[in-house]
Amino acid sequence: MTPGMTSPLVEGKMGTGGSPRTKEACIGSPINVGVDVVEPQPRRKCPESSLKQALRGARMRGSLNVTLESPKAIQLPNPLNDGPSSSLKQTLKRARERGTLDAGLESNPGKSPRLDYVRNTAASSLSQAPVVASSPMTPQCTLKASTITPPTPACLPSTERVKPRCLFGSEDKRAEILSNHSRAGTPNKHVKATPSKSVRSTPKKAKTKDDVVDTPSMRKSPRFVRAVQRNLNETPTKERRRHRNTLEPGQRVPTKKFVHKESRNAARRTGGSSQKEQLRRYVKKVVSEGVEYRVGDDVYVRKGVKENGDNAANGGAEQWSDSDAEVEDCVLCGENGQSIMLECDECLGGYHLRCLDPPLEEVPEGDWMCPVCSAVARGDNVERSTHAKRRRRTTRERFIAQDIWASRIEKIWRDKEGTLYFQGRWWALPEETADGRQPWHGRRELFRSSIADENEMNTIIRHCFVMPPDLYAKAGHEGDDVFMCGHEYDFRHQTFKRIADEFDDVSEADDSEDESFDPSRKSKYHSLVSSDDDDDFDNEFDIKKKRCTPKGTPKGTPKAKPKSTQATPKAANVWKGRVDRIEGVGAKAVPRPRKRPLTYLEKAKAALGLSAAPTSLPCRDKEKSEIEAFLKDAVAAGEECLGRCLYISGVPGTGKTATVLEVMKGLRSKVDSGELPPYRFVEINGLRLPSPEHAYTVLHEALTGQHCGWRRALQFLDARFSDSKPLQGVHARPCILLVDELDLLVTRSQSVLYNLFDWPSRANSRLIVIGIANTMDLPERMLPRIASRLGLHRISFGPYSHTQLQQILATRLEGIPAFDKQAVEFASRKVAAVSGDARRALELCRRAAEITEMRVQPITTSFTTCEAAPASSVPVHQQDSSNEPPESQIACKLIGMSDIEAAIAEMFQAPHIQFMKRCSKFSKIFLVAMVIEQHRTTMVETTFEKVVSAFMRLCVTHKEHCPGEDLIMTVGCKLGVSRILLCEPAIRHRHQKLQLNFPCDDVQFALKDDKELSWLSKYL
Amino acid sequence: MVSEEEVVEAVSFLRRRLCAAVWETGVGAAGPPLLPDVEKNCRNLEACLIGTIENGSNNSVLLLGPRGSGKTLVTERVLAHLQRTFPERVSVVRLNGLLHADDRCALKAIAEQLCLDHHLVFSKTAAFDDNLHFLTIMLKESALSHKSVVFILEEFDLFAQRPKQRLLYNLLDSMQSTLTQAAVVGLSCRLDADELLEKRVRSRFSNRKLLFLPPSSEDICQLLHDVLMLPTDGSLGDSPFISMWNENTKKVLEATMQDIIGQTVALDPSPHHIFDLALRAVCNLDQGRGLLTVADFKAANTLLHSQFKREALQNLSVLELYLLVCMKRLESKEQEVCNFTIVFEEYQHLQETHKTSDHYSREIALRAFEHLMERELIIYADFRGRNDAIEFRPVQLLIDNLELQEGLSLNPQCPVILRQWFEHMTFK
Repeated sequence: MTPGMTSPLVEGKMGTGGSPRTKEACIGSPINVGVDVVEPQPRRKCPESSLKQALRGARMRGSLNVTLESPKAIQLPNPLNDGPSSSLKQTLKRARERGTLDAGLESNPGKSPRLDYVRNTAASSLSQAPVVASSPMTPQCTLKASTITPPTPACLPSTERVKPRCLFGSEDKRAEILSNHSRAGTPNKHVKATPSKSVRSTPKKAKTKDDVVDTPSMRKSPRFVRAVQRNLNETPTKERRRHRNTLEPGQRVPTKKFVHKESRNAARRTGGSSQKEQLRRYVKKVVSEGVEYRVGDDVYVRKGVKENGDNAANGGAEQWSDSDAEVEDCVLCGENGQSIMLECDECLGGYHLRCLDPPLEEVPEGDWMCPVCSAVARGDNVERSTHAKRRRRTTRERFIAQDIWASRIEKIWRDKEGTLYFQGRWWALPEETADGRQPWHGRRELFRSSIADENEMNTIIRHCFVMPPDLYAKAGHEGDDVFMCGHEYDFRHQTFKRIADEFDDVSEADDSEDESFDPSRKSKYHSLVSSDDDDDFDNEFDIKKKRCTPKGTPKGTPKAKPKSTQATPKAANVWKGRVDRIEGVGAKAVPRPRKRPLTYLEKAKAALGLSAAPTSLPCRDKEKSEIEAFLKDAVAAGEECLGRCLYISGVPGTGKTATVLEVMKGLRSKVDSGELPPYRFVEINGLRLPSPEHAYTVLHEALTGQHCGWRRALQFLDARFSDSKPLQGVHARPCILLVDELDLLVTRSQSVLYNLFDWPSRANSRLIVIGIANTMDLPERMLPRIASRLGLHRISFGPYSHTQLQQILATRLEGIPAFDKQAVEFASRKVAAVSGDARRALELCRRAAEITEMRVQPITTSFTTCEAAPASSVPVHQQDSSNEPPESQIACKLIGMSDIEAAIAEMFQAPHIQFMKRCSKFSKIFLVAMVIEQHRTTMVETTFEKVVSAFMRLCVTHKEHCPGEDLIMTVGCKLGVSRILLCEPAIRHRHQKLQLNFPCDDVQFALKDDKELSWLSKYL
Repeated sequence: MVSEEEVVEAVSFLRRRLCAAVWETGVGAAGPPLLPDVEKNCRNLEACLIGTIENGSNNSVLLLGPRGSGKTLVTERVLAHLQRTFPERVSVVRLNGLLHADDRCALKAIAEQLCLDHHLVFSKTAAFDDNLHFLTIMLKESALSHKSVVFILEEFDLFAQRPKQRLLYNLLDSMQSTLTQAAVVGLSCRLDADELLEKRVRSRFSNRKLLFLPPSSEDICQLLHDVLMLPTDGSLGDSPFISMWNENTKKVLEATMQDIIGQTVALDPSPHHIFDLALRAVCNLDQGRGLLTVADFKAANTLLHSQFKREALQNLSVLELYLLVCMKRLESKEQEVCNFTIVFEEYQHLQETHKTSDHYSREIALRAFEHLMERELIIYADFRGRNDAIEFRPVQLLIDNLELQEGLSLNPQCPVILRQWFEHMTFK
């Protein structure tokens, strides 16, 4: 590893931090047959085994469940190969048995299985199918045995022109397919051959384009044509089924489940669905030549050409004349040597370290620009063209040049002829957005578009990897095909939207994951990847829940509420029963990322925010383990899950809800790993319901997915929970119900609470209820029948002590030396003395950080006149980055006791004393008059008449001009409005009752040292 | 000599500055200058909101201060400035505790404003639940599109006086999740507004307060001075009139500083009050002369600080004065609550003893009584229904002795005997 490589801190929401990329020379694949394996030198990137490393990287990312451990696996008879590819194999077998397959299927499991298309029709209409040898695509390298990793130049000295493998290809039938496709009207067949064998490819049918110019903003949907196999004797379904059942010995049985289901469902599938979808069989992953393609992978996709084919020559030629080099050559020397290559951040060109002038020893930190780009940036006119021509283009470059496209596989299926198709969501380059590429777009930045299309799997070239920004920053050495995507782009509205983490909200994720895969219900929380993880392989039901048609219009589910059938445009705020993404909301342009790293103060502020929850809550381990034990017990109890209610109480800000949610996260991971049976999680908040009875609606909707009024929901739930026979299947899962702010569900008859806590005690209800409230004795205040149920298990969250608060603050501020130690202790002691509320402590420290920031870099915008702000103006304290004080002055930037004191004064002090000190002269006299009256009558309450007489006496005595009664009335009322006095409405005139809102001592304290009216102190 | 147009222009400029203080926040607006404290609050608020917009930290802040101290002005100015600095990244939702009396209304208003902002279709018939869900979704989507939502809640104390503080809870709770980029700014004239919050809501509210304390008299006088000066930087033309005006105004202000302005400040030092005085003075300006005078300020003072009860007394008829005096006599006899019949009896008694010429019948007296009721010099003492006849309902007098005495002396129609009788009564 190159030492010392750090990536600049990526800000949470914006930022394109990246590490300088290096190109390395190829690394020999350890599995290449007969080739000298070049030992990988310490380098950060290995383009040749980019795929391998990229796969590893993608695995790190976690979203690719790649089970392929190493390319080595390919060589061996790997049951893995056989498993997922069984679908392919079976098609092949089917074809073979039908007698229409000429090429034999190599039964060598080591080799990647190919899908030989069965096509009889001969055709050669497509001229651009210079199939085999003449095409530059033909693999000239036959040595490459590994199909995963493209061969490196080192091991294949003959050529670096490695073509991306063509998948699913059979050369013999290529022509037929060509003709098929051409007949069907589709153009293009590129013939690409797999490098591993001289197997020819099937013509690929990539995305076709209409005659309309391919504007960047609108990709038309593919004119998707099926290859109709008219000449085939189609095996009737039954036969097919039979064939499928007989597997070759030695081949791994692809989960019987798959088979049975298929057969069962094939019969079940009726003409309800559309023709197209009727015969789809969905698969999760497909293996071809040892490369596994799963739902969720990113792949390069071949571009299509125009239909009429007149562009075919150009397009074809263009697409074939370039080869897809896997590895870049050095710009300067044109070779792909073994030394480390450095990638320029501007032009993404690769340079050997030793080729540079002066030669560098190690990879420089931060961004690096090649000499050409630096010269251009400086303003010199430099010829750029030369260094572009000499090199062959890698796939990535072709992609960036918009020669090929990239998409993410969302679904894979096989249609009834056995062709594999996939639906993929396109990745858009910044050039394709409305404003084009902006200077702050990263060179490897992509946007997820709102358009998804269906294509054949033939069109896939190979993997690429698109990562979210944080992973991208960490992925310094994953290969050439790594891109970064932080935003979504909507072509229709031309807006950007940041991609949220999928599992930010525990309850949302829980709902989507833990609920069973029930095709009849629509999930409110539909995520991008469809949440049907239940079945292993097959996913027959196309729920018809397309996220977007190619035109970017959302569709509701067929089971959507009747509201969606209105002809009028749907109102955005009527939300029941719709998918939860609003179209059309998005930023017009992604804001510029901050160029400079965060200061300590800013990091501290970010870490102390209430929304920045830590991964684990400190100081709550005991309670957490109790709750966890309770829940695990309850969930694992299965049949005996009776009467599980838990009551959690504690003052606000002690971490009750946060702890419960954290426990739920932990349980979810346990479910994933199989230790616990799956469960359902529903969260209800008493303050979010319009009325307590709506709790029934929410629960009902969560359990069944249907929305109805609360009375019907109550009936249904009652029936369901009183049912004596146990629930089957999906509904047999235990349901954990979390009721937050329980005291707001109390009604006069307390029926809601009674029901909620009674249902768990019935047999077969499988309901576990956790209630959270503030009062410790809430059960005692309820009717006894509820108290007995509610009060069984109780956990009380006490307020935090000052040591605990200190620990909490320390956990949050780990690694950020922005606070004085004493300051933290002072803050926690103060808050612990007042309330013990963790939120208060965090807010206090955050406010202190802000005060420090204002002290160090004050804002100097002037608000006195409404001047036009200059377009790029940002309040000055943020522009001072260039003038940041040197490290030696950091000490004064630490948050000290004085800042904490200022923050405490702001937050905890009542403002009335300050106010009384500064109010108007007559107000002060009025207050003193009130004090006099109070002392005289020893009653707090007085009438306006009396106060006025006292007022006038004071004025006369001290030679102040006395205003009229009405004006004194206004003075009094103004004090009343600010709640310094409590007074009746002024309509009562002289009978108005008045009272001081604060003790006399406060008035005395405030007014005794008044400079203007020094005689006031006599009376106080 | 000063030309008419210049005077008119100057006067209209000043009036615009004094009247439309809050809402003129566009570029080049002639907004009034700010007190130094108020400006400090502006900067604090701006820092707070920039923290939300740039760094995504959710903030909530309360602006507390008496009426007319500039809270709304500050909010509007800061928002306008932010919208100019960060175009398309701030979306504002404004709520008022007086307008949105209910939490349902308030949520509907929020949904409507958000829909308008993002050009979505809004339906008036959505339920509370729908609107709440919509709010959550929109906050999430706005955060993903790098847009911050700023909620301005005026009359914040009224929101806190709702039974369950549902709206406040939902807003402040949604700010605790990472997927929200929002700020809540509450404006209130009650200094204890944050103590009205329930403990749950209070815990979620970051107790930031920006106080708008009453300014000192030097500050406010300086403010008045600044506001009445015409700009000399050429934005209003370059005539010698401007410097003439400025000099003159300075002199006038110094002359009136002690009494008129001092009295005004002593009553209520809020900027709003001072601008009121200045506005009336400017409006009273004699266009012929073209410059402010002390007389203008005096007139403004009388207008602004008029004593309505005194004026009301000056305009009463004799019979009404009689009735008032009778009621006063009854009061001095410890009968504070009386009804019309008793008053009329007293009146008749008076007439018998003194044999004046102002003898009126009962019906006319009743009519006079009703008139007094309308002028609010008398009020019903009971708050129950109106089923009883007017004559028999108890009434209370709302005028003081001193006021009545003054009114009697100032009233031109008041018979001397009444005055004497009144004084005689008070001496008794």
